[in-house]
Amino acid sequence: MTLRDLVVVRLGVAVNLVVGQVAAALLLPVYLDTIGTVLVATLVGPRAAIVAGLTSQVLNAVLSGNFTWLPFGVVQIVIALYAALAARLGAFRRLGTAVAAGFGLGIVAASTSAPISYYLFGGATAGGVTAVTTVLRALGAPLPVAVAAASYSTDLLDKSLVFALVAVVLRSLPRQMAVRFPMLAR
Amino acid sequence: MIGYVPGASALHRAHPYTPLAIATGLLLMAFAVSAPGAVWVVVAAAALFAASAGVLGTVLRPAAILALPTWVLLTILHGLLGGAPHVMLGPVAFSVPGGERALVFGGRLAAILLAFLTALATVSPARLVEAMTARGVPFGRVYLLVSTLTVVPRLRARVRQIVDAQQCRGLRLGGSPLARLRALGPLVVPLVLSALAEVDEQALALDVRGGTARGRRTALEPPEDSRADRAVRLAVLVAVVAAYAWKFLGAGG
Amino acid sequence: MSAAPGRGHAVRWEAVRFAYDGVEALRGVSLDVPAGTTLAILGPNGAGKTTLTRLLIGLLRPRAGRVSVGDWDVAAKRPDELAARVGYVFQHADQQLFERTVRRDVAFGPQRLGLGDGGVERALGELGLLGGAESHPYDLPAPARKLVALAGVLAMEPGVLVLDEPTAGLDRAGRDRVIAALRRRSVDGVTVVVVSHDLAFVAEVAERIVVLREGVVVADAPAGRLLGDAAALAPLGLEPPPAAAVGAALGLPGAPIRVEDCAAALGGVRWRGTGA
Ligand SMILES: Nc1ncnc2c1ncn2[C@@H]1O[C@H](COP(=O)(O)OP(=O)(O)OP(=O)(O)O)[C@@H](O)[C@H]1O
Ligand SMILES: [Mg+2]
Repeated sequence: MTLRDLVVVRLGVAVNLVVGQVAAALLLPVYLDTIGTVLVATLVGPRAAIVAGLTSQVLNAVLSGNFTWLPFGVVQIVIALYAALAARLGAFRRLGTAVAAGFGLGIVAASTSAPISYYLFGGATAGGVTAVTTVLRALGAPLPVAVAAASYSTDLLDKSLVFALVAVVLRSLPRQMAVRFPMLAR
Repeated sequence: MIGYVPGASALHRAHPYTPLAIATGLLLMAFAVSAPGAVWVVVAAAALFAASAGVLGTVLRPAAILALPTWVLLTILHGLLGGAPHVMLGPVAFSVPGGERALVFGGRLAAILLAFLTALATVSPARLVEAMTARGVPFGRVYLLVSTLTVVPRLRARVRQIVDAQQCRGLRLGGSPLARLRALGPLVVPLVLSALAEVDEQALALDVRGGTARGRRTALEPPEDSRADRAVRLAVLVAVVAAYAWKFLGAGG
Repeated sequence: MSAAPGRGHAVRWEAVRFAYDGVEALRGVSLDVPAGTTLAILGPNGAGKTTLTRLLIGLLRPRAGRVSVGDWDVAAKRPDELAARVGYVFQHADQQLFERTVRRDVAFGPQRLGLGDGGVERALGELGLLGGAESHPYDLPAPARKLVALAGVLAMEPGVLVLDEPTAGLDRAGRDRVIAALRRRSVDGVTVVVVSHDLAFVAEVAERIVVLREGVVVADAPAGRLLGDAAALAPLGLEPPPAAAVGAALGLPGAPIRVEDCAAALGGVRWRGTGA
């Protein structure tokens, strides 16, 4: 990776760490905290995206003190690889395909994070998801089902939005900026 | 308080990798054991780790604040909504196996939080960078990732500013879920565009300061990696391997 | 209900106090600004200028006192509702751009308010942006981007226009365009509030000047009188703008503070001199 790639990674990580503020301002039940990772995957490539994802996970823990999220670093790698593949296949060229690909990532990401949440933490992780889990459980759903449903519903919406937003960003990229990212030409 | 707390304990003086290794070891141990008693032994070990660094008082508060909501949810999820047999605690039926599970998962949380908050409190970021540089990790990369933390406050302020500015252009933050989803674009796109617009400027500034990606730099004052440091890290490794061997071979056999 | 152009609103702060967790930023400010006035707020860093103006758009709520814009009590409105009356240009306004063309970005605010394109084209023309209207804002140099953000607010045709450091980072031509645009708004009856450290700019546009220090008003006077009076400015930590200094040094009639008035007065002197 060049120095410039690393600077893109750094900004991607910083975006991951702050974008939750936007979701909070809009009272939307999503994290959006992988948007920087997905962007780096489309602009630089999978390796840089993995670095961005793992760094975000660690720094998030360092900043918030919530180190229980560390085992979910695996999910970051999955997201980075999936996003790079989706970019290679041109999924970000249109909003519709981006949303569909994001939905697919939601399934993949939830399938990775739900078992971690269930086996390591008994379903109790990451605020919002746990609340959904508890409600479902209270309504009578078995615990594994409640955990899975909570993870899936959150991830499907979140990742679809992340992909849609990245598609919008890529389309909004000014020419002078776009030409500096050779990955985009493919 | 979350972050580095200067001190003179043995852990503060140790090689930065040692507290990190102990914290990672405690995390792995917390997942290796599955009986409530054993999990809370790990919690006690994590508390001891904090106490030996003289930061128990400092890390207990954030650990409790971070763990409390999850503990409450665990108690509801497993204790109140768990399966038979139940015990009556006053008017409520409390699941016995559920309660045990809540203790296990709640204990894991507590152990991880205490262990890493302690590592965070005892490892000075500057010394960690020195240590990594001395181990041959390219300085540019270490610096870049650590320096992300300096970019974050600026970007946070920018998010606030963008949210304010778009509201002043008539963007409503509330309204129907669909309206709120639509509001994401005008808020997220300027954030990302303005960040990307800084790329070349920042790359240039870093290049000038010699933070090249592949450039190696000799550490100024590499922290000493003593025999005791190595011994402690080896002990952590042995304990973790033993715990997992016992977990999989012992339980499976 | 949006303000039609040519109809400004009076702006009023009544015994306003504000604190950022513990830090008192405004300690009892009362100001009454009649519709159509161009007011400049001056003062050292940290005086509370930005805080005072952010109260107008509802981004901050006073801890005590009342803020009103025309017949609206600001406390009862959200910022996006107040946007129909108050246009606010932030100091780093260029960070809010996001559309693919300058024209579309400038049209964002008017669209939110349900206004037509008239204001958009007028604002683009006034700030010299028509040539680049189909460019991406980020393909323009930074000073032009700041003008795009300003145009985005002018295009909403607010009855009250608030600008925080509008000339910071602008080149000479951009600055002149901003001055011309603000003067035109003033003629239309729009109430204009500018916060600025640029006294030469303030002298060109302001009718009235308020000086804040440590959260209180320490001076409130007509621009011509205050800026032309070096003795009054000195204790406020301010120096007369260049045109006023020239005027005072030459003892020009009418004590001009604007460059063009100064030039006219100079011309008058020469004319009288040669005519005699
Ligand atoms: N978000 C904030 N949190 C805490 N304190 C703040 C915040 N914003 C401003 N302040 C403090 O409030 C006081 C007034 O700040 P304000 O920004 O209104 O001053 P100003 O006159 O606009 O200064 P400047 O000329 O530097 O822009 C200052 O002491 C400042 O440090
Ligand atoms: Mg200010």
